[in-house]
Amino acid sequence: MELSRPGFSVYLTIGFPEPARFSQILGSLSSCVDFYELGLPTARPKYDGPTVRASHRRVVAAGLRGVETLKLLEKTGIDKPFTLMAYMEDYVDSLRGLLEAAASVGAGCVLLPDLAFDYPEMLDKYVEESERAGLRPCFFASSRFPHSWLQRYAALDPLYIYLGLQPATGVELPIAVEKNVKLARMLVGSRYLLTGFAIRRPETAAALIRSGADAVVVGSAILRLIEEKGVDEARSLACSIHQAVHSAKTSHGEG
Amino acid sequence: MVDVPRYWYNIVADLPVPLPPLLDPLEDEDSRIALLVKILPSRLIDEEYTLSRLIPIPERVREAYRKAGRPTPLIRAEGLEKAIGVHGRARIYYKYEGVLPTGSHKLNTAVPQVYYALLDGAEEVATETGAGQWGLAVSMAAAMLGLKATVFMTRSSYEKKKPRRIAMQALGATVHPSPSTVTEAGRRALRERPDHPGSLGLAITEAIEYVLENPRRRYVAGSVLESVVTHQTVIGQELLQQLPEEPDYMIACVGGGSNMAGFTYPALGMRLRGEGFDKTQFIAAESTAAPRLSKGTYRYDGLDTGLVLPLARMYSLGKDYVPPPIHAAGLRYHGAAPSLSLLRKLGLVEAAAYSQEEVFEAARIFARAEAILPAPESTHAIKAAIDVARRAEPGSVIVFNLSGHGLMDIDAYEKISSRIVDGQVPEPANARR
Ligand SMILES: Cc1ncc(COP(=O)(O)O)c(C=O)c1O
Repeated sequence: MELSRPGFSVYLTIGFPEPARFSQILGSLSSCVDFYELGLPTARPKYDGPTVRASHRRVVAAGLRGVETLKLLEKTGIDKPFTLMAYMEDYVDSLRGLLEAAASVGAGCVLLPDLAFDYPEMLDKYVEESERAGLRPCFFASSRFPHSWLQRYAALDPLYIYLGLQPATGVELPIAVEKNVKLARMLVGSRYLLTGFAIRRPETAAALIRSGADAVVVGSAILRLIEEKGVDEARSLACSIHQAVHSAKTSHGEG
Repeated sequence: MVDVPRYWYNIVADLPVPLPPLLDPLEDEDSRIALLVKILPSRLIDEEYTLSRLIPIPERVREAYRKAGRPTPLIRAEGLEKAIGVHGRARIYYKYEGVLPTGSHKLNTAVPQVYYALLDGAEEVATETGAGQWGLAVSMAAAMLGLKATVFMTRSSYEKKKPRRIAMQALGATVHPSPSTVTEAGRRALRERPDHPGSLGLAITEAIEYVLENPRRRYVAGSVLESVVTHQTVIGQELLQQLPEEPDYMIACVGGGSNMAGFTYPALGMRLRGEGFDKTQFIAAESTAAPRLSKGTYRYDGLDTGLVLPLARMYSLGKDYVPPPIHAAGLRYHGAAPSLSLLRKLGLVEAAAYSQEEVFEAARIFARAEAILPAPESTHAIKAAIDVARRAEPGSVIVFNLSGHGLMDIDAYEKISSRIVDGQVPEPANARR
């Protein structure tokens, strides 16, 4: 799987807000999305912000969680590339199963946001198992992250390196995110740099692309709109960010 | 010529493994992380979440550092070497942060934080203090920059550390004993335990509650946060210019960890990047009253007792731990800075805990040998340095951070001198060997 540059992605928790509407939402956002990032519902979305946490809570309360929810994707038939997000904590003993299941539904990679922080010693195993399952690895980094690790990621030929710009999803603090993106770009060379966390405006997205990001992903803002105003509003935000991303002039003159 | 550094050093960029993030408890509907924007100066938040290895020191802050007496001296402790009988066998140096006008390293971060609060348009800063060193530094920085300061001082210190409390008040600060009746958290603690001696964790909760009441207030943090730790690296950055030789041991006391981190991180960073200091042992000296790095567990825990702040992964004794009152009140915190905790977990930093009695002895030796009254906190580093010097290989070099002077800790010295007069303190110089 290759991802378009520049790219725009939406994060959705699989099965949110409930299974039937989830399929509908995927369908209606599709025309304004280059790829999806889909979260496997978990009881412990420990590094996520309040909106994403609530989305997991809701799906899990409805009796859905983990790899099982991938069946929903098979039924839905998803017409865009997608990658999965899951917490390593839930799959320490079943990493192979997770990655095989991901490959079988056509995911590009499985992002494990807690891998580097809580299981740094398992990084190589994750890469090996991803390849074994026919996937590429993808990696999470934060806005306070060792440079050597960003370089290590880059050397492993990932599908993408995800830079979490803010301390948690959906939480916006006064952080010089563009400066961090520029620095991350220097450290990862030409690798695909996906940026996310608390992006909710087209201008922010465009500025990130101009600073050197290859793509942006929006999660909490879309989840909130789906919940509070309905899918049409969510679609309209997605479309405006998609457009901003694709018309932003990148630092190397593309786009 | 040693100059005031132009940059602070952010060790997070060089850590061997990623630093676990701050965390909201899962069950929370809201985000404590999101709340930081109402608590901390915004520029401090930016420094907390930066990929940059070096952070430029604003010119106004550099200027204040210079006026305050930076660079601070690095001194060869020949008097101490002789007093403990290692002269000619080991060389001991100390970086003396006590020359700063508030008497400790705390001004290094008080100035930038108060300056950042000013940039946010704040009118008042609030904080907690144990020994009063931090509270005094904030009071002075606030006076320098024209803001009001409110300080929640742990009750046991409020009662014992009168000189520092009065100095804060003279500089215009309002000082409340914590637990206080000013905040809900304080009133609750007093209801549960009317004789509560206070703890830093609780005083933090009170200061934050106070800040959240009014958008023109900002909280300034004395230690623990990475951004605060980073500010203290002026100490270690200067030290790199001053060290005549690469040390075998670098030692500092640990409360929240900023003094230890500030002193050692620039050298530790060189070690992590493979640029030197590979034989150096980095030793954290703490108090047996709060031995988090020696006896705590590495886990997610509250930064403050009231859980207003997010959780941090660190060595901790538990957010509700109330340490017994000691003179080194600045070491009475339940946790240690996340980066320092991680380095300890990885074995790059060692820890040793000392009792009040042991460190008094070290204070007495040092005062007579070097003609400086050390702060009770710093005395832990002196004690560790003495122990290390006595057992080190011939030719060893030991450097420690003398984080503050003890001229305002008369209560502690009153106790030592009365014992000395009573003849209760044994002559330790050679007795131990
Ligand atoms: C003189 C002195 N040294 C050291 C410390 C401990 O510093 P830190 O909390 O940064 O470890 C304190 C804390 O109050 C102090 O007053």
